[in-house]
Amino acid sequence: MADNLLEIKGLRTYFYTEDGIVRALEGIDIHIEQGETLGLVGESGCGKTVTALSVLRLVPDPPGKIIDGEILFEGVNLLALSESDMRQIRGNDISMIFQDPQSALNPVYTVDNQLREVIELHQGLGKKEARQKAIEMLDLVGIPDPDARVDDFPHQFSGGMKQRVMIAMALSCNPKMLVADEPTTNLDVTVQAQVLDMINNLKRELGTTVLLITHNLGVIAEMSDHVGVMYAGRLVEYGEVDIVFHAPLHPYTIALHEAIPKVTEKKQKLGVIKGVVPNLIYPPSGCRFHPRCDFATEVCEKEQPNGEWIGDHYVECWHKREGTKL
Amino acid sequence: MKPLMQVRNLEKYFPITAGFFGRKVGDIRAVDNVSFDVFPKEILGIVGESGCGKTTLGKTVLRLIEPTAGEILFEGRDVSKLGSRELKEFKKEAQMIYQDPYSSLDPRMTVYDIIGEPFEIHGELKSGEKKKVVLRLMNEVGLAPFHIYRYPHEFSGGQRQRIGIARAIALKPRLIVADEPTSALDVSVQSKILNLLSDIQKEEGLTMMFITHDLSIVRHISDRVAVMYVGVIVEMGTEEQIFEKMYHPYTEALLSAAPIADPRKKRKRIILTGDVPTPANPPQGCRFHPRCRYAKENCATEIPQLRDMGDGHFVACHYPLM
Repeated sequence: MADNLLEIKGLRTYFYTEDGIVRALEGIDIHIEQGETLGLVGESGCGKTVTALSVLRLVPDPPGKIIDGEILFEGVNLLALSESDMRQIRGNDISMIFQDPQSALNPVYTVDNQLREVIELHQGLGKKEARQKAIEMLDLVGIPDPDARVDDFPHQFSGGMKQRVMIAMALSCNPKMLVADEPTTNLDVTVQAQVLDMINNLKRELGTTVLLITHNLGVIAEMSDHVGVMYAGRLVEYGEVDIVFHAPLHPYTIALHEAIPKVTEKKQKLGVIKGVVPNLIYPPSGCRFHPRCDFATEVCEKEQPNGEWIGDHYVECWHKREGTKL
Repeated sequence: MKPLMQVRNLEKYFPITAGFFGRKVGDIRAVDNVSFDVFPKEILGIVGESGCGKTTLGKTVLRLIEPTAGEILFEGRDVSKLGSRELKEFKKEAQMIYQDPYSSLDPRMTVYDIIGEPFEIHGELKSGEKKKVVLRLMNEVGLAPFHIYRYPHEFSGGQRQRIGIARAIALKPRLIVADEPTSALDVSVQSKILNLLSDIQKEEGLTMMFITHDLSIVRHISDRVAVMYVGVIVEMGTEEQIFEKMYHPYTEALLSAAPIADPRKKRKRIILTGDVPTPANPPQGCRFHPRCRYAKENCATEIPQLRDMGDGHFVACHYPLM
């Protein structure tokens, strides 16, 4: 087994709101191998973004709190670090790109200003050298004419270009791991293809490990080595991308595959998942998926299923669907 | 078969103004010389990237916005020339489903008011009948009867979209324009709404224009597909013609860019350079030529016309792929 760059053990993140405690993450175990891309997939509210924010310790507190678990990055528990040590990790070792580049960039500063801030702070370079580095980074992410564009403001860039600027900023300190939260969700398909292609190229050149978060199964299939499927604050299935797409064991994973229309074939009817995503203030008892599951029995309602490892394949279900072929 | 709607040379320009007095300095050519037919009981998918004019096209054919030029023939009558009374009649026949189920429902109206409003406007029902009809429509779209006096904020996105669908089908229209009805929804909710729309379409014999940027959805739901790029239709044909035997280089690139939800199927991606041009200043000649890898000299000067390649497969390209 390859070395794990990141290991998350028993992570619980809760949000203490006026309406009650939102149990957003209820014990997540997952690891990322050195140099791979791990895709996390799930519907809104499943906890995929909270996982990413927890890794960087950026969960807004209050109302959020990481109440239990360990996040080991190269063997060091990030949750035990002081805030100033953590600040050294962010940007230098782990950096993040957000879904909405429009709101993640400051509209009143030029790109030069914002990129330089990161580089000067983390690498201790002077103004001139930092500017040179900023131009190099823009060139690396494929922004044409970087010498001139570096002095532009964010609004002068298109959506795809802004996302490139974000990626340039995230990679400018050569981090070991990049956390990408829905990096292409707001982009058009042809621009999405450009950005995904670029992330793959950079990964190859720089050897960066990527945690990719998206709700789009197509993006997961094209980018990931391993996939984690999340539902209502639990990791319900994990495995190699080929296994999770062609021989999944969890009923939720199977139902998701059946619910999406495919660009390669015309289905007669789409599969549906009955019911709605649960409110995590009052999560269902036992297996959190049981009220919507076609295979649920009494035990599912009463007891949380124990996770089970079958080689490199993890599943959390009392009635795993062995022999599924998609 | 006779088309239900024939759109001929339709144009919608929005003025670009500048200065204190709003001097006009140019046009955004959102829809530029577009012609197509919609046949009875078909679903015509309109697909394209943001800014290609697909939503403007949808709203213009319903005359929710006024066309700049061109004809919209609905059963032979030109919708663009209807007076206000005739237009009201037309709106009974043609309805719209909106993208955003959050902003398209009045937060101060109950479900009963929202679904019942079309009947009030068109004075179709006797007073005692309304509740019965509203309940029947709610049943049809999968809303429980006890929801009838609730307000939009009490519903999830998927349920709100069901309210929007019930309102659109209330007057038994012939044509529905659905503008990205599932793009705000999660996948498991999306599949329910798509199934509902195709069931209703079949049961009621509806004709539908389905506008989306999502290629897998357009393939799933459409009988025929029109591909738009910067205000024009570049290719149109059956779902199979577009997805299996496309002629236009843009269609080819667009399809190759769509991620496939299957790690075993890797296709060669055609990465287009640059961004989609703005419709305020579209390229001369073929609008796709600056990004087209097959472009030749005359592509920069001559505008290609949409022409029939046989079997009703239309393409606007000087050098269609064979």
